[in-house]
Amino acid sequence: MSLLAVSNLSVQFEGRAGTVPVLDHIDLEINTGEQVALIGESGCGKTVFGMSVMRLLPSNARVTGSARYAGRDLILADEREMQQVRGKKIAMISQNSAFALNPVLTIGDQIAEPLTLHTSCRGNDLHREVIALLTSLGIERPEENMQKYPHQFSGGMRERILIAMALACNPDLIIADEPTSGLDALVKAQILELLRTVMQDRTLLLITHDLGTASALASHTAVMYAGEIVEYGPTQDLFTYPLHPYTQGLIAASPSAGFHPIPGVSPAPGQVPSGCWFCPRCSCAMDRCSTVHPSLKKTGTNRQVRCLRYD
Amino acid sequence: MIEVDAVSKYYTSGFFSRIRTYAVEDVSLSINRGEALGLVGESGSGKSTLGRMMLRLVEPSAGRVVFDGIDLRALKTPAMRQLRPRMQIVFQDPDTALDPRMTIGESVAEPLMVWQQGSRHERDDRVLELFAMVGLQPELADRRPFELSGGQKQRAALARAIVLEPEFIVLDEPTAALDLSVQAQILSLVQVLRKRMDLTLLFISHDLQVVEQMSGSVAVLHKGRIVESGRTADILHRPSHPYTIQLVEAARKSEEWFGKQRGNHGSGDEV
Repeated sequence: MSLLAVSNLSVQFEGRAGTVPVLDHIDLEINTGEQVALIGESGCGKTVFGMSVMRLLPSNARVTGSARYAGRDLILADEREMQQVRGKKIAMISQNSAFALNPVLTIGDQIAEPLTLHTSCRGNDLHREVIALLTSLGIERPEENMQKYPHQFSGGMRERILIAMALACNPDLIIADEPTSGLDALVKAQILELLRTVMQDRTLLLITHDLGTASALASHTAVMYAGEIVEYGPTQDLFTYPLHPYTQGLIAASPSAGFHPIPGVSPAPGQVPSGCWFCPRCSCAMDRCSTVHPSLKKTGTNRQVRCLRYD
Repeated sequence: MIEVDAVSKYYTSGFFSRIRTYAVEDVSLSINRGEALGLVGESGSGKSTLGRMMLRLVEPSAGRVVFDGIDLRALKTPAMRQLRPRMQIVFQDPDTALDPRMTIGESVAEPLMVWQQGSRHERDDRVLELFAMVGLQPELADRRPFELSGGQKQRAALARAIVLEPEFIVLDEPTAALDLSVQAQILSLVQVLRKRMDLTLLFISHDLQVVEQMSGSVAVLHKGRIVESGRTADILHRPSHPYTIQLVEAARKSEEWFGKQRGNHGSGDEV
């Protein structure tokens, strides 16, 4: 059953230099119990996608299309409705734990905040709930640590705190934006292990550029390039038999495959070439690739790919 | 080429500065000309401090740093200055490494101006030559850092580091702030430059897989001390220190998840 159904979602930013398209007609469905990874290079629009579902984009963003969740369209919802959704129904683990936490509040207060806003949990119950959350995320001496401020924790600990805040109200969907970036190798492995445990039976939208993180956590993966989805499928199939040349390039660039880079750079928003947007960097481009823009087509039972070679 | 002998860096605090906190303690290592040494360790292990001491950007508290037979700590400032063009550093975060008020071309040309090399015309030509070497489009010379992507900025930082044709470069986590695919581009660029210019490199990273790719030998730093060093392949296959074992284990695990998902390295043509 589909929990979140995004269809035809486009986002443009209005600036002095005119309108800049960032997301182009995105269709993505997340079913209950699925963990969907959205992967791609920085600047391809992954974060904007998460933000548009949460309705957290700045006021110069023009969002069209729909994001249906529990019978309503989040894109059309007003701010009061969204306040009932954020944190309670859909929670976010945002990028960069150093800036995502409030520096002047203790972490105990910050974890309690979603509970006070969305539940009737108060006083001793609230205290117990916060301690239970901290303990379940592997934070030792919770009584003592909940009195501390974000700067007193390491990056890995702050990440755990962010995960605790997201889990506080037991939301239907969690959007995790680069939960392992900026952590060093050992801590990253610990956080991945922790996320694997807590996300097992939950619905997750994982935004990442790290193929290792995606393969560790996601049941399905969507590959994004220059603001559109170029490939979608079950993670295992997609990484075993990548169809789109861009996905193949990403895999070849990963450490275990020996860092073979994809030539060139991704186009800046609004400056995409005609035809297929990946064509100038593609090693197997054909003549018509520079003129015909491919659409996202179904191949096989559960794969989708945007490439003329599979037409 | 460069040798570090029993180098320490400590910071003092407390009554009569009697409390010493060691960032780096009693470290010795050497790198031969044209070779690359990987320096691995977790955040806070002293990697960057050690790298900077090798260029005397951080003054060591004790020990010797010998560059091409010259004891750096014995040098007075003017003599040290004369040596500087032969050694360079590329920082982790390209955002803060470039002056936001200068164009990229100016940033790359700045070392040439400081050393008063060439006429204005020759400097411009040299900048364009370097741009070609590091794979930047010539029109980016007039842009400012905020207009460039992370990968482009790191290419510019590399161009600036090699403009004076140094012999020794410290690369302090040059790809930590970059995407996987961009990381691959920058790493292969470093390899090309290294061969072409016969560079000696200290490659600092917390990522074993990156170090394996970049350097034949590695030193593992843990809490300011070197706990293990040797050939990269040996250490990856037979780590002996508990910290290295954990590190190798973590790398192996992420490999395993990825490997499992990918099956037997298939390609798209089979579907």
